[in-house]
Amino acid sequence: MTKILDIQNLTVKFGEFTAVDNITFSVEKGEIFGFLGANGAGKTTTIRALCGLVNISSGKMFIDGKDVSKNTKELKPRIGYMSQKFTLYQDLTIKENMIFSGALYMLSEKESIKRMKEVFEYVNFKESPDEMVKNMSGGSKQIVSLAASILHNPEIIFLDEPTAGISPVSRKLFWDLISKLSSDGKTIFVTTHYMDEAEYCRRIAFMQNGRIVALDSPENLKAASKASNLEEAFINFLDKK
Amino acid sequence: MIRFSIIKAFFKKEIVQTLRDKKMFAMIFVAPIIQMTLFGFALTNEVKNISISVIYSPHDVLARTIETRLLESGWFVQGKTGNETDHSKILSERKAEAVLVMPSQGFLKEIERGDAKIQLLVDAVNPQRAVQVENYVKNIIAQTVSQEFKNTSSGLALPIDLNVRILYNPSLESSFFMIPALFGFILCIFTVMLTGISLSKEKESGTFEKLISSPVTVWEILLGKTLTYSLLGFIVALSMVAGAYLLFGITIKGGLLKFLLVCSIFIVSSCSVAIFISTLAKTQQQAMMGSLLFLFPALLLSGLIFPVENIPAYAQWIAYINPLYYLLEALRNIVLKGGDWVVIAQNCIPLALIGFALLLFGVKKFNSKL
Ligand SMILES: Nc1ncnc2c1ncn2[C@@H]1O[C@H](COP(=O)(O)OP(=O)(O)O)[C@@H](O)[C@H]1O
Ligand SMILES: [Mg+2]
Repeated sequence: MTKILDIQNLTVKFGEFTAVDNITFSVEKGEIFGFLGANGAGKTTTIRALCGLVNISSGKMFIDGKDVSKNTKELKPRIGYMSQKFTLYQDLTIKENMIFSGALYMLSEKESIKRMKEVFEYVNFKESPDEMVKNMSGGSKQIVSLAASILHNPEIIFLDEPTAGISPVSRKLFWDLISKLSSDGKTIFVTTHYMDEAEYCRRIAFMQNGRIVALDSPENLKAASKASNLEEAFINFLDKK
Repeated sequence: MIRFSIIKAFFKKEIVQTLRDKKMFAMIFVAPIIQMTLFGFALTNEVKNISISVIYSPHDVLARTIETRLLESGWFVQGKTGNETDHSKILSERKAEAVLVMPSQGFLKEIERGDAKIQLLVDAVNPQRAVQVENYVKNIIAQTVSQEFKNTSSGLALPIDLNVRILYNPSLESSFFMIPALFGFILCIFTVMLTGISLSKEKESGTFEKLISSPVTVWEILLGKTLTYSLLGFIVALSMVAGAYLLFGITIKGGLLKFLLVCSIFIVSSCSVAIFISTLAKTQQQAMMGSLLFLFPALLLSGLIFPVENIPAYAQWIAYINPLYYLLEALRNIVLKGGDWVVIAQNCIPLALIGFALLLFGVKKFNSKL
């Protein structure tokens, strides 16, 4: 397996405050990698650093062997990023959003619409493309949001709390889509609050106060902390500190 | 790097969003119509009620009849007079917009002598208006005099020499003078406020994060935004130009090309101000406040409300770095006087320098990180 993401001693500070504190880990090509941690643990900041959206204080990040700080322009088209914030335009239709998102990656209108239809068919998504985004349900919004961030067919997909606040049925649908993307060879880096979702991941990192306190497969994590489920394992790891 | 297809995508998106947003729509299309109508009201009112002062000796009955006829015509209202020996002062002190000076020896007497000299002074910004005033006055004098000499020939043959002097807007206070400024100010509001708001809207709603995570460059984002709203500003300014022509017969004497040239140089400055505002404002509301914080002093110190020479010296330098000041100076010259290239250059060179400085500053401040 090749390391597609390689993070070495990454530290991100906002003034005096250290949001990400000297973390080192790597993600392998094609795996679903989960980031778990309470609010404020530093998950979003880590993803933003990897996407080149915040200035890092120290450390190195490599995507497919290329230094992120030096090759941002070249790497951006290979990355798909679905922010924790909702980043679609509420006053545009699904289709208009897709066309604009695609255009940012130099896709023609036709290509964007074709890709949109592919992704929607993939998850059996039934809303009309002419529906205004603001009129959609939370679950549909997240699906469209994900579709918009993978129009350009990126190799690595960052998903920041993609299932926050949506119904269990929609969450299931959403994870089906993530699994399909992974079986297509995409690397998925996902953060979540939900422990049951973490079971879908091949490996998970537990994050606390900007640090990674544990990193392994769900099975190993449970075994190492003698826990019956991930929730317990997570608590056990935090307790050790 | 600037890719045309990305600018085009921004343009389409911004236009669709603007047309769908009722508040924005109202601001763009309704506000200028209201302003135009208000100014228009002031204008039409003015063309009808030209204040006129008639100067004549107390015993001149014919002159008095003419004065009464003028005021009865509906075109004129009574102007004020003082004890001025220099009648043009009546104009510059805004006591009246037209002064009719009758012969001091008595009008009738002079006609009978065969040599009647009358002088008409008109305060006007454009010659059409002056000609209008002149024609009204001429007709009324001719009618009055021919009635007086009923049984002789018509008024035309009478030995009256009407000398007309037009003083171009000595009081600097006419609505005609305001119209070019209105074009400029609308353009300024559009580019500063709409660009600023739309940039902050992206930050407020979180969509900015998506923009900067994609491979678009800062210049593409900024151009996509500023070009769209500049174009909207131009469209509105031009429709106001058309409105001013259709409603009040005001034309751009210097031609549209000079007009557009000066406006294009100006929008570099105003868009840069908007970019700068968006770097400080995190919400649309803040951007709106920021725009007003710029627009009010810019308007006050632009020479629109009072001449820059009258501003206290310690604040005058602000006017000289105020892009709106140069825009209004240039537009007035182009719209009212035909656009002298020297005047255009005198205003465009500082305007271009200020614009360039603001642009460098704004783009430098504009951060493509979170
Ligand atoms: N731009 C910023 N400026 C200052 N502090 C920030 C900024 N972004 C995040 N933080 C702080 O960094 C910490 C980690 O935030 P974040 O990465 O969003 O955590 P998570 O995604 O795990 O909830 C939080 O305490 C947050 O308040
Ligand atoms: Mg977060």
